[in-house]
Amino acid sequence: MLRNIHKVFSDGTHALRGVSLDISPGEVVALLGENGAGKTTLMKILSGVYRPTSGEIYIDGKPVKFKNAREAMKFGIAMVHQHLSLIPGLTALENVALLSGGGLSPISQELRQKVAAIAQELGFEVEWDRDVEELPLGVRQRVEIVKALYWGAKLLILDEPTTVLSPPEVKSLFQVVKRLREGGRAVVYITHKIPEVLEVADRVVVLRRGLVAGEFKPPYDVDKLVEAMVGRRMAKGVERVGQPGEGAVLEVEDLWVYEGGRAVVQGVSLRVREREILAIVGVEGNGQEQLVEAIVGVRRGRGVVKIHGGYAYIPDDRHKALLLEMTLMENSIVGMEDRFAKRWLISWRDVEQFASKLIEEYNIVAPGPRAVVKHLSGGNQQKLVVGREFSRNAKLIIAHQPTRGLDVATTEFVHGLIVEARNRGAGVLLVTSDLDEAYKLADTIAVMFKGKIVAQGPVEEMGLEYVGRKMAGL
Amino acid sequence: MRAGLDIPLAVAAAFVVGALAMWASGYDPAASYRSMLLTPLMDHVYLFSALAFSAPIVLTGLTFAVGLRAGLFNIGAEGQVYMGALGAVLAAYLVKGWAALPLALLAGISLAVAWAVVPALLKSLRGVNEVVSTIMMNWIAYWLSIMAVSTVFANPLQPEESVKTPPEARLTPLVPGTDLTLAVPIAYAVAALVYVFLKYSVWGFRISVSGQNPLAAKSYGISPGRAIFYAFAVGAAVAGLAGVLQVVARPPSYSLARNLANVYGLGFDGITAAMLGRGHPLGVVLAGIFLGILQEGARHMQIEAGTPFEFVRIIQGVIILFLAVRILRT
Repeated sequence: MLRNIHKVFSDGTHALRGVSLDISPGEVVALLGENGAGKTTLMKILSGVYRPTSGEIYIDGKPVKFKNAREAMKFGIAMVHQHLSLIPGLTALENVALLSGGGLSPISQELRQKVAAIAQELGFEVEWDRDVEELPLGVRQRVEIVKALYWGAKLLILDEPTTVLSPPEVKSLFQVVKRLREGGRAVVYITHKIPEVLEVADRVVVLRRGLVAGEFKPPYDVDKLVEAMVGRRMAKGVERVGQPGEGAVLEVEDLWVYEGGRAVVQGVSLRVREREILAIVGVEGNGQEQLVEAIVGVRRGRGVVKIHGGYAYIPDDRHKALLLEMTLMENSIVGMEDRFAKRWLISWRDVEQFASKLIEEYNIVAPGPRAVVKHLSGGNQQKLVVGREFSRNAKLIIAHQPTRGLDVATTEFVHGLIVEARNRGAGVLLVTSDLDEAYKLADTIAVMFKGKIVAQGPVEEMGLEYVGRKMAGL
Repeated sequence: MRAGLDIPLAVAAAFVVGALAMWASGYDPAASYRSMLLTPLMDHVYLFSALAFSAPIVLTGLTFAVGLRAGLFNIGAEGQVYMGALGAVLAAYLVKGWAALPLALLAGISLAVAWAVVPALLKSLRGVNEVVSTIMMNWIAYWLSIMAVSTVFANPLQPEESVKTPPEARLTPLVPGTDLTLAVPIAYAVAALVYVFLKYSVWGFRISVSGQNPLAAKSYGISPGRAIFYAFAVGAAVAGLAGVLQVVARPPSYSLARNLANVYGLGFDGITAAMLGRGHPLGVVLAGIFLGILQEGARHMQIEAGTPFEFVRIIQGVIILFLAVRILRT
């Protein structure tokens, strides 16, 4: 039970303005809200990661104070973070045995059996002795859930759990949530996706700008949920206008990328033309990440990559694009710093104006251009990346999962930006595992499977069923 | 905020530990601290001497601070100071008259930068840990300098030191009877320049970006390798300048001691200064002055309270220890 929680970050961000919340055993509570509504902050307070600026936490009627996540764990509260927090280099089993702040306990036969029993109860199959780095994201998430239960979690917080999952994995996650509830455990499910809420939640609490904007029980009225969450009507989408041109903005020829001696990109050739959105679809982990990173030069590849007229790049993980310890101002000019230099020196006054403009145009919720980026919510960080990249006015836009973790309204906004840039003549390489997104935006669809482009064609000729089969390697 | 308190706390804790050490060894902590901290402020001769001590520490502190920005733990300032001093001695050996001064700057700074090129290339091309490579370069510089001062650059008249800077090329005290030379304002001005470089120059910004997130830097066309290279080079130039000034602007000897006493340890004092100054160039100046006062005060402590000079080293070491714990945790 949380009472009147406030949280103000050191740079002035007022993330929570007095939120109260009750959670009972055997209940699935969905915490619904847009980016920056305060969902994750609230739950990080409940799980001991942050301390509240004011307000109290009660468990079974007794007030408690957590110094860190480990103390919250003693009371049976555990959180599975959006950016999973397993330690690479350790096996899945070792990660379970590793208690934050408590060191690594030896792997006993007993631990192994207990872990296997928990996994079986939830219907998981995990290769426990592999390095977690080699496991797919969906499996890593399961490892985290098992870990939480192993250490006695009675309340499990799942932060945007489906963002890293493929559609079949999402289905089985819902099964898991239901089994957790049947086992008498409470689950808090943080999300901004309404369909997920309808599927799993016994109760929905909507947060908006740090306040509770509404509480709902089934049967849910979707319009009411949207209204509580967004508080305003949504804008209409932007349509593609005109046909792709002839000139190429990106040419890739016979590109090979190796990772640990394995060819993860195998002879990919592709061409993005002016006024074209080329969507590469596929199940995550089929070489898309390595392909993109070889194109922007972060990874070494063998083959030819030609970029005409500069590029903008929205990576799949915003942490690859941002300097978390620095301000919005500094972040807003990365890679463009020379444009703000007069003679030899950067004009920070111009940068401040520019950053303020980004905050306004891209609707970034932040106290100002001097705020430190790590205190922004994930969605607002993403908006900052998107805003910066679209200000480059590059001929090529490389967008890798550009709307991952964004709420409905912002996703719509980013889609609009991509289409507008295309209509103005830019070429877009869109890499996504979200088929709806691909079909909505793309002129051309290419399917990637096991490091190869296995099918490609204009969107009108690429039937959904055909693409789905190609994605599965059939 | 807690972050604002940790440095004063580390200093206070170090003084407490120092006091305990003195008390346990049979010295009087109160009298020792009085002569260490107050005597240097009582007389302008002592104060200027403290400032003269601060100049090279500020410079080597800047070296470490620039490295931190680039994500480096660059402890090569020590060896680069030796090379700077060696360059100044080389100039004194080759040229008579005022021309030895510009030559000393040129040779000293060039040698120091050359000394940084090795770890810089190893780091940016092969990812070799800079702590290991700079320590090794420090030792090479140490023995090379000892050898040079004992052989070719030896002063036949005074065997304990090298050939002297020609009188016309010396930076002599601005106030007669004190140690205050141009080296002091030069060091502080260089700190201001480094501040401008880091905050306003394009490459200063790129160094910070690469230090914080090399992957992001690379994704957006900033080469982390080049940023590391520039950070090493700028740091080495500043450390080299410290070495040159220790020879051409340090009365009374205007030479390099044969046991390197007038340059030994400056690189490591710089690490303390950079940590105390929170990696900010202007903070480094304040921290450098503080450490300069401690060094000057240590002499008075030795004379007035009879407490050995080495206790100041203990205090400095404990400060680093406390601050390092914090830096390594975050």
